[in-house]
Amino acid sequence: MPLSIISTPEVDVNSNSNTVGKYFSVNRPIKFGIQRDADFAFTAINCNSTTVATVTATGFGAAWYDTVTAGTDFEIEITGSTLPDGTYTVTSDILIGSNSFTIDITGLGYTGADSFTGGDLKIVRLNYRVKTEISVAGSVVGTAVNKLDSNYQVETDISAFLKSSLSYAETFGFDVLNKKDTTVSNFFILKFAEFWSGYTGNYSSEGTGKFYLINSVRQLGDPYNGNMGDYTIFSNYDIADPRAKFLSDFEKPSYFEGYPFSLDFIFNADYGSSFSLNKHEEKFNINNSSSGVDVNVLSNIGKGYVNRMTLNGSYSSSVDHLEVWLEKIAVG
Amino acid sequence: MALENEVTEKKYIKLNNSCVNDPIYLSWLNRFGGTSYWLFGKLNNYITKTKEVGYFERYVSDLETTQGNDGMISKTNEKSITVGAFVEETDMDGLRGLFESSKVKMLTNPTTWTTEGAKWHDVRIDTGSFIYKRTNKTNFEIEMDIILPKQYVISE
Repeated sequence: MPLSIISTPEVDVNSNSNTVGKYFSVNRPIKFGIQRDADFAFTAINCNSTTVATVTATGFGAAWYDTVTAGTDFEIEITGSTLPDGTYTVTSDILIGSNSFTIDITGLGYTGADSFTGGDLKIVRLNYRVKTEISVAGSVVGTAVNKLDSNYQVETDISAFLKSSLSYAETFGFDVLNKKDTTVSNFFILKFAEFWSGYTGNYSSEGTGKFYLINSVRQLGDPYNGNMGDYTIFSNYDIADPRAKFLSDFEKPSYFEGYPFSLDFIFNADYGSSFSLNKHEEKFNINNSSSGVDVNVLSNIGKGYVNRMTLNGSYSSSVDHLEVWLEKIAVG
Repeated sequence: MALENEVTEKKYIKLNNSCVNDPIYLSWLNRFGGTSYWLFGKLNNYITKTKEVGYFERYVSDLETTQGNDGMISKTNEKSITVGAFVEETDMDGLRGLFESSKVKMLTNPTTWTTEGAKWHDVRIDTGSFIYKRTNKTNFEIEMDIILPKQYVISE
């Protein structure tokens, strides 16, 4: 299919190409750039006369036979050739097995002595559009339809479709160490198809691979635009990289003894089957002296989602505050 | 600089063991997609606010025995709790998050949640102004109105 993705909201977090942020705030635009690629790259154009030239490349017929009507003139746009860029009328049928066709060059001032080297060409399609099918956790939540600009490109914003798939609810029982929260996070996949008058293409079978949505919001001046990269826990930081932040709006959250509490984080799917996480709780008294670190292994089930994480609780009266952090561990 | 295996910041968690007689415990969806919590319990006022929905005039056939010549179709009532607290400056960003959040829940069984599971009701924080930072001030006295779920009423 001659469509390609030319931009995504992914970012290299900390300018590190090993830590690519794929978690996006649904309350910011989530834009993917799509481009219609050339239908064919040709090798040569040779003028037959002052009115007709032959465009040559192997495989025209096999590629185009089903998409144009025999006996009907149609237009192509040629770019990147030594022939001037522009729209030309095709005056011969495209048959299976043919490796050339003719175009009308009347009035351009060329003769049978002129020839040109190759370039790209696209068939001019009536009412050409690109459809983007958006699936969240395997269910289709919507289809965006976009018209391309004069450069055959478009940016499609899918955030509104994704947002409708989240419905915030309290589902955490506070009875396990950590659990994924699908009311604020999930994964999505995009598939693309082109269509025009008289033709509907099939969606790409492989899609884009997984991206992730978070019911969060970013502000002016925040890094990475709508990407939650600074809150995503990666498995392969460089030693000097700043580490992921917890999803709390308190600089120092309070744990009210005897009440439900969670400290939440984005458990990156990049942990795969090779790594998991340990929770570390270091306890301090009022003089900031440590009384030890408790370590617990987190469940792996929530990879790819926002995770709610409980604290150990039942702290002795001498404990004034904690420091909590996560460390990666190799598994398997 | 973090150690090699550390993958998050080190988060400072304050422990609060205060006993509260009349606890109001709230959770809310914060701007980062996580859940935050706060316990109010010192300055709680419980308020009910009513509003007349409609009124009609009755036909009176017997002036001597009638019980009245007007009636009310219904009233709406809205219950709310005004909560207050004295808090440190470092808590104000989080409490601003509570004030700004549209997804707030109140724990309805604070004394029994460990045995029967936590039960929550959606509530709303009344809109208005909230001072969350003031220069040369390290402690704040805050107040918010929590609007409780709509009350069902008897109607004509």
